[in-house]
Amino acid sequence: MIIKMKRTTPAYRQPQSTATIMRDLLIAEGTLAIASIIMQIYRHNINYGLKALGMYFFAIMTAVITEGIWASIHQKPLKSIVTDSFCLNTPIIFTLTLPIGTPYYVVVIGAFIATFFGKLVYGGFGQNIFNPALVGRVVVHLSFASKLTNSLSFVDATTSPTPATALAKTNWFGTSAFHYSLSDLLFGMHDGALGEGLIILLVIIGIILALRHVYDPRITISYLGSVALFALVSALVLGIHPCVNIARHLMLGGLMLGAILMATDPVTSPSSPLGKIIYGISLGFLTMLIRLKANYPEGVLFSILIMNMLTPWIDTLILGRTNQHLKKQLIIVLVALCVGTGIIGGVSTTLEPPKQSKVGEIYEAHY
Amino acid sequence: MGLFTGKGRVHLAGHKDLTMHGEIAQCPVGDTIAIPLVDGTATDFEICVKEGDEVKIGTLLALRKSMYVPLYATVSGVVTGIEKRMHATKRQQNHVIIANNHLDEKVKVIDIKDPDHMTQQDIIEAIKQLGIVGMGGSGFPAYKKYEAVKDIDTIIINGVECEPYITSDYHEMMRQTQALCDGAEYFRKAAQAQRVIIAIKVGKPELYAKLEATAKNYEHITVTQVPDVYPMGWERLLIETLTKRTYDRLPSEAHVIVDNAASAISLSQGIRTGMPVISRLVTVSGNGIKYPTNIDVRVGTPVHEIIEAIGGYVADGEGYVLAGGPMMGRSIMNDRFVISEYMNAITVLKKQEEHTVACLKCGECTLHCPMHLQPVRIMQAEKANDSDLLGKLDVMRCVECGMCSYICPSKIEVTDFVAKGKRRYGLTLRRKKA
Repeated sequence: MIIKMKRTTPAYRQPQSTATIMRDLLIAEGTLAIASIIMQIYRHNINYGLKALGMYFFAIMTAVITEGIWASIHQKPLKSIVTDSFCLNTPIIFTLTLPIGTPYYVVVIGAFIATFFGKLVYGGFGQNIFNPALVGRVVVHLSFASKLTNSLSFVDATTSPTPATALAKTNWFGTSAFHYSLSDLLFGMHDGALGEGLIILLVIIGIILALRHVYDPRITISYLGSVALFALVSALVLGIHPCVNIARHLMLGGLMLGAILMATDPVTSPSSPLGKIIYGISLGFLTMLIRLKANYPEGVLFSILIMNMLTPWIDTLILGRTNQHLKKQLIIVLVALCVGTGIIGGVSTTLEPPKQSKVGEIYEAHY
Repeated sequence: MGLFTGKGRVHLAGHKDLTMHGEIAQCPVGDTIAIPLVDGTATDFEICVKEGDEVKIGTLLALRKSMYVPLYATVSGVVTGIEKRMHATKRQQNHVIIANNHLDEKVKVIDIKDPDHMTQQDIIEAIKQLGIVGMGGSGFPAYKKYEAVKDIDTIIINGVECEPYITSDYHEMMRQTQALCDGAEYFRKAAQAQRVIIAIKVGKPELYAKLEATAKNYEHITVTQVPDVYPMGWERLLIETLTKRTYDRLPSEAHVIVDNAASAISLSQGIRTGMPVISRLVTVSGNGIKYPTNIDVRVGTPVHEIIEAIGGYVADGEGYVLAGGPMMGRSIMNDRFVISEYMNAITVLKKQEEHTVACLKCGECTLHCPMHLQPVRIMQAEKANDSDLLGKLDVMRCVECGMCSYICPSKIEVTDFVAKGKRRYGLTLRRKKA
């Protein structure tokens, strides 16, 4: 044996690596993608399944080609787009957020923007400020809103609003005009983005990934927990059944998808334990605020992008050792929860039950 | 595990079975022995012998200037000079070279008439004269902890050995159980403490039973098992686990003194025989060693002689020779450095290429840092040359245990960046003072 010198300590490393983390994530995302395709076939027909498959295919191809060109321009080996840049994860997550009616060219544009403007221009994997998939999603949302339909027009034209839209139309009271039952939400028996309805699978995957230390559950738990808390407050103010309201808000729209796969993206979320908790609570607060009051019935996309911007600031909340000032840390968390509770409660008082005339309109509006 | 503080510890793959059950080998004493003029990282020694002097085992060779640390000859023979040689501190250091005459003539360092009835001052003086140091790797002179002893109620004897591969303390405790308890009792008397806790890791039933049986004869000694996590052998974590007490700077703030198990054994033997530490048990292990084993080594023996004695390295490939365990041990560029009394292991690992990718900022290092620092942020501050931020991040608290690099999924040398940050901030502080 030839003795070499290693300048650094330790010479001992744990088996888990970023590559295994990204591989686990890829398996999780792949499972979701396949489940979403099966779901489309089950709920509609084979054409919907093929369309979904096509969307994943075009998104992945776009990302691979974009990264490939970028790598060859920067004279990196082509292999590095998988080993160093992990190019497959972003397009799959991006596609999971799209509704089935999205035209292929929109998928391609979105996947390109997600990969190029979301990740590569910042310096590649690990350097980006915003979640790349959501950058693509927000551009697509703002530019092609009318194209993001929940049906394939050439197959059949009937379409129903997503649960989020329907619930928004009842001013979040969930009156009889909201015709989705909790089991509809749980089993994904409704239109929406490809990855939206897979609640049970998402929870299972979330638990497995957390146990495998793929992500820190602090963000997911504080995100979902604060949404539940704020939904409870809102329900009490509105005078509706609290448990039903909590369950609805937790299963609505992309919350599960966002809380498990997007908000936990380590690159764009804070690194300290306190920061992660504050980040999760802020996400829950923004999500609820956008849902209840903003024009857009689904708050996950924007709340994650807004909090991505605040990540560097949140990281400055605690410097030094994390076991110092434990009381102060607890107070910060409690204050965040109280402020959130107060604002969401206050906002809820401004909501009024929907007028009867509005009920008929809910079948027309959709995204 | 704390909501805000993270875990601060992790279970490591120990690989201890490589050397746990085998026989203990004896390393032949070479024709020349080199005693390094180094204590921990200090090198300020006054040499008390000159070329051509006859020495015996126990002859004083050198004294540290800033605090009393004696270095004794470990063989009898003739001093052939002071040479600069490779040392486990990764630098060339002065060594006193002794040509061994293989007669093993001895001279007592201390002479204690009645070892069973010693006063507190006698024991502290014995610890000082014997040159007992922290034998777990620090080399810190043990008497320093007892000199101004006040309000100490607990002595912890650290037999945890949390680094992978190392089993020397295990074997030493197994064969010297009586001396261990005896030494522990001396430490207790030296501090006028009420109790002694001997701490070992779980999963060593034979040792636990043997210690329990021996400790029964001592009314103040109890044996406790601690979880198999790294860095359990670090005194701060050990004290917190055993006594639920925390402290800011020194264990004495928590009314505790921690001593290594091998130090306790050496103290007992020293008091009973009057001799300093002249040999010690060293674990030579790792996947780069053909036959991993524990071996009795005379202090001052070069590592290559030990490795030859046990069958050498594995034949092919490249590897690292580490002075110590794989977590905190330093990689030395050759195997010519010698064994000090506080060096418990030589670990030889095959070179393994790690593929480093960009930092994810996942915060795993923050969650696992035993000191609850934020290595990821310290690394960012160090890269940005931001001394002020390094200070705010409490960088000087780092003990360089290697946890952050171990845990990093992107295989970044985080510990190295933090160590650089420490140096940078230390320089800034010195400049401010000047």
